Amino acid sequence: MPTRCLLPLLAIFQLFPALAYAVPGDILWLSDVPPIRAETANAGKKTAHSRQGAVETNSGSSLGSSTKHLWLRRGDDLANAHYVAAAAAPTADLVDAKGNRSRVAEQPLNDLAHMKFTFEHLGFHNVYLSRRSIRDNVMCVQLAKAELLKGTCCKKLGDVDPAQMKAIRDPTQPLEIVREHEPDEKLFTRIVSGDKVVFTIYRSGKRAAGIPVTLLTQNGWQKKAVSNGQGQVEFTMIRDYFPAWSEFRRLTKHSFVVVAEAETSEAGMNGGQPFGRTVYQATLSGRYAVSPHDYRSYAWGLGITLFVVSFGGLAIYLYRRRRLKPFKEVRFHEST
Amino acid sequence: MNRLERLKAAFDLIDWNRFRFWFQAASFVLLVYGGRLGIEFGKSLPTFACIYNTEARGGACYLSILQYQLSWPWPKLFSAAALTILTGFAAFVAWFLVLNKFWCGMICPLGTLQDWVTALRRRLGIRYGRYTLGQFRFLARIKYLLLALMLLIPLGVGAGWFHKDLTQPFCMICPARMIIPAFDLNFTQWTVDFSTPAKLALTSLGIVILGLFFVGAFVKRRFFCFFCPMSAFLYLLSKPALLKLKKDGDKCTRCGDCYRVCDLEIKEIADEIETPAIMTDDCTLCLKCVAACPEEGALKATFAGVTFFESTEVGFCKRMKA
Repeated sequence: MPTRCLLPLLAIFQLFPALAYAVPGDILWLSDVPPIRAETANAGKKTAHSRQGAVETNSGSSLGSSTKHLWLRRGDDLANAHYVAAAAAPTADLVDAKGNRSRVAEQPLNDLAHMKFTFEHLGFHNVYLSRRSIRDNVMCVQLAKAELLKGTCCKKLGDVDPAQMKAIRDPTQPLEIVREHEPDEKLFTRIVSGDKVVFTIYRSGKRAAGIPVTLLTQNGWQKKAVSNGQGQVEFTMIRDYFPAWSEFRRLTKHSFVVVAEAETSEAGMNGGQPFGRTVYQATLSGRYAVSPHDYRSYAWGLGITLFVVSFGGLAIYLYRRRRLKPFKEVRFHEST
Repeated sequence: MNRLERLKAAFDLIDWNRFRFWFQAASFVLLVYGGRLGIEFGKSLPTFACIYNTEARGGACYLSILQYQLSWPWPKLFSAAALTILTGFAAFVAWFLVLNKFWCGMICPLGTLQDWVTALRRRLGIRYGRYTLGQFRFLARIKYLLLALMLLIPLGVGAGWFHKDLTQPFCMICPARMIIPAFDLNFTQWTVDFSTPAKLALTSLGIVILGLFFVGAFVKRRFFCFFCPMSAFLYLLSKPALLKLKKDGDKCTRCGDCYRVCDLEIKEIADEIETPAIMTDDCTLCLKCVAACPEEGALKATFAGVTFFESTEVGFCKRMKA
């Protein structure tokens, strides 16, 4: 977390103790960026961009692939967050649009916690992973979630079952963040800088008001909000990609993580250890891309069109006028 | 006279221009708004039903898919995945073999638009321009150059020689990319893309060609068709097509009516009297020449060897009166 964020945060935590859990550095989240790519990006050699975004066209390195890979990461510095070692990662739940639930076992890759998902049907799928630990008599339940899409740009909206396009939620989750889908969201819709994204917070399947929610972005920006009466918070995805033109990559995607925390007085025992209260920390991770408005210009497009039409039209008019021969009467006399 | 012959005799008297206008309008609606009506003809159409018209299109132009597939990395291109290309090409050829370049003259949305611009010019009383024979010969070659570039550049992308932004070079400069989605109020393609030098060059060129398309279509009939690589591609495949234009040179009086009404200014239609298969590479099979011919049976359109529309004296006179 950047140092400049710490002082205001500490002041907030003093005033509102409930928010003290809002952005702990120990957040657990799911990432679709392979470790090697993240390292390359952090080394500044090349900006990381992947076709495997959480909301993106076909996943994987090859077109038409229906597999997704997720790694478990820890930390609120999204660019440098550690990849969790394989031994610490439990299995994950996969829920599809029809509510079918399956358990996906971890498949360690280079000793890192890694999961591979294969999808048959187009549409969204949610991955849930939870981890429990007791610290200072407090049970901390960390719930990492990722929304995956088996997408395509080749199908029209009408050709896809609308149920496959809806945001999925799991009422069995004690705390869940759900990204509300846009009415016109398609199977290749991306979240881009400048988009207003609405998240709804659910506690055991019911909308939860007054929950502190924080949005973290890869470049270290944070935005806090509290869920309203409908359990919703709205964030505008920040525009934070300003490279030199020669280094600009329009397919660049950065990670974001939404964190919500709720505390309860639930007490009990876990693995022989007692705890006096419970803190739930839910994360929802995703990717956001560069907005087309950052590199496409209507003004230039329309300007050039108008120039060509005006200049071309004028040129043809002048050309035709120049070729007009004025009427000239020629008389011939029979005797000549 | 059997029923089929009576039907053909009636068709020979048809007001071809009016029939063609409504046929083109119906085709335009199907291809540009078909998606809104739940119609989908697939992605192998031999006409400019632009794929950038995402939700509204009733089908998609095959050139877009072909360029994309040719840009696959070579190991994939020369593997079993190439079967996908072959099946797409087979569907494209199947569509084409039935109607030949009738797709250009009667169905192509971009061709229809040019005809509408021409109609507007005529109403405004502005005269149209003609090419000299030298200009015509020169311009007629451009479409083959564009076709070659359209096929070679994506192959170069697959080989890693060119930037990936050159995957669909022709789509980037095709005016249909901007014009057709605009009919569904989608103007996202009317932009210049500054993200990479390749995109900047292609989108700028595309915008310039869009401007030239409007100016050109206003003074020349079917201005863009001279440069259309689809037209060149289709002509290369046109020999076995079922729909054909034929001429009986013995009945031709070389009055030149067919040449005067030809949007593409094909002189051979009037001059050629030896070869019955009169269709040249620029011909769009609009059949306006057949309708304008006053000689009985001099020009005819056949489908699988059966004549369905031919020039007749009565038909010519009736059309003149109309």
